[in-house]
Amino acid sequence: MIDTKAQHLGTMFEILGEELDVPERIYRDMISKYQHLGAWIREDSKDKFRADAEIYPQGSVNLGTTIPPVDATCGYDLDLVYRRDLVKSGITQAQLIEQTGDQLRRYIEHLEHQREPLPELTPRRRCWALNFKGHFHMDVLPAIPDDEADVYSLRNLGDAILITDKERCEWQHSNPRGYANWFHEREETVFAEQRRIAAKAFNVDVEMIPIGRVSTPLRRAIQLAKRHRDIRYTGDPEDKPISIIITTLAAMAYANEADAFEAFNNIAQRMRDFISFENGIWRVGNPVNTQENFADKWNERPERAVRFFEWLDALEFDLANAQQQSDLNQFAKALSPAFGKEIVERSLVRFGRRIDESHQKGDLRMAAKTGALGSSGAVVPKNTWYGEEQEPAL
Amino acid sequence: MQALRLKSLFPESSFDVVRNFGLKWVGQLHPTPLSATYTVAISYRLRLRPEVTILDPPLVSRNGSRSPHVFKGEHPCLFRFKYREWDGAMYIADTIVPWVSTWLVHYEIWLATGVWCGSKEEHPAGSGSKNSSG
Repeated sequence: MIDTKAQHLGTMFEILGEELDVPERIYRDMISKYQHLGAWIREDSKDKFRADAEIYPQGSVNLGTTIPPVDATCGYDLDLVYRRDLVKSGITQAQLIEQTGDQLRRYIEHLEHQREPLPELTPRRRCWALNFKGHFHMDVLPAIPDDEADVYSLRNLGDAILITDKERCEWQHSNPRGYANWFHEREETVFAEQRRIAAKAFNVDVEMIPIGRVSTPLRRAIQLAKRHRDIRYTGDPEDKPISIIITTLAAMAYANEADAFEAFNNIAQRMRDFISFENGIWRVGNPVNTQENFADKWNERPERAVRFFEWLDALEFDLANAQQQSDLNQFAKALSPAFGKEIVERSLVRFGRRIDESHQKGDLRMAAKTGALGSSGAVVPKNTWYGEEQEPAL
Repeated sequence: MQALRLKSLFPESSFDVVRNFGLKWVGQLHPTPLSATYTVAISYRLRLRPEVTILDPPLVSRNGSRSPHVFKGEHPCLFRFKYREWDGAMYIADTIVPWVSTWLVHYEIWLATGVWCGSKEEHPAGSGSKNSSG
């Protein structure tokens, strides 16, 4: 719909957001590799540790807010929780990390026997990364159940976990399922409708559409905000705003707008209202864990708070600027430095093809008085764009 | 008749009758809310192809290339007689004008991206390369 400026902006930003989605081929590959790993690990844990284990996705893939890296060679991120059914007193953080590493090495050997492509295994601060070259990497986060969750956890107590952190002595509390549950509640009104539309488009039952594959205005806003951040801080990762803060503030600021641009623009303006600064302490609270402050690093490095507000100002400015352009070419030129020239141009081409498609189908209309294309007025007849040479009259 | 139909759809537009039973219409088109508003002239003489001129803002080139689908003199090419897409019995207001509006959207997108998104007729293979986007 492009009949009004608001609808037109909504369409343009929705298409721009679609450019950030994980391509279907990579998404299917990621899911099948994760399921393969999950099934193998469950069997292996039964054999080796005589204990139950579970692997499940967390983070942006689960929330539907994944975006491609600015450097295409880096690949997408798939974050997995690997929860083993152990008690805290029965294992140390170092042992859990080591055992997970050994297990993943055995998994790679297993893949080798199967003559499957081999990922590269690297240790990270809180997880092990399996890098499937050029496409994506799976970050496997070792975890155990958190038996003290009732002290601080606000929901999904059974899903609360303890995770390792090489830079800290204490186990860290986490609850990705509780967080996802909170996030989905923030968007549930619009979500059900979007999932129904997606199911209709693919001609399948609603349950067949994975939760992470549904697009909602909130998810689009988060994808676009993260992209804006990535472009702004390309080559300068130090102190850049972190995704969990953007995601949390955006979900808090979301007010069930049904339109992608309206949601994005409102969220950009309201996000700052959910950051608190009291007694010299910055705080962006984890909505499912009273003790976790996502902005705790801001208190160690106040530049991070400065950077965050600078970024928010830039985002607000860029969105206001986009609305004031005099034509589609200027619109694209205004968006390119903010979101990346390539995806902006690709989205504009897709918009042009949509216009053409509705023209070819006889759905495109032109309103009297203004000549505005859209859904009102008389149908634009079919025609052929042709040539440079003057064709003789009949 | 053409003039009356144009005037009824675009009450604020103007037209002049010119020599040899010609007609010149000048009106404003705002193809989408994010596009520019264009002042467009359409000159028409019986049996001849209506000639469209974008008066303001003027058409511009992109990195030195002129827009696809224009005739010499920067007149947008909107249809083919060969396919009987247009003849003098059809109202300009219901054909040429909506095609100009659609052309202008494709033109703005082409300016931004270098890609013409409207369905087009490819020139037959080997008919020359320079104008093959035509």
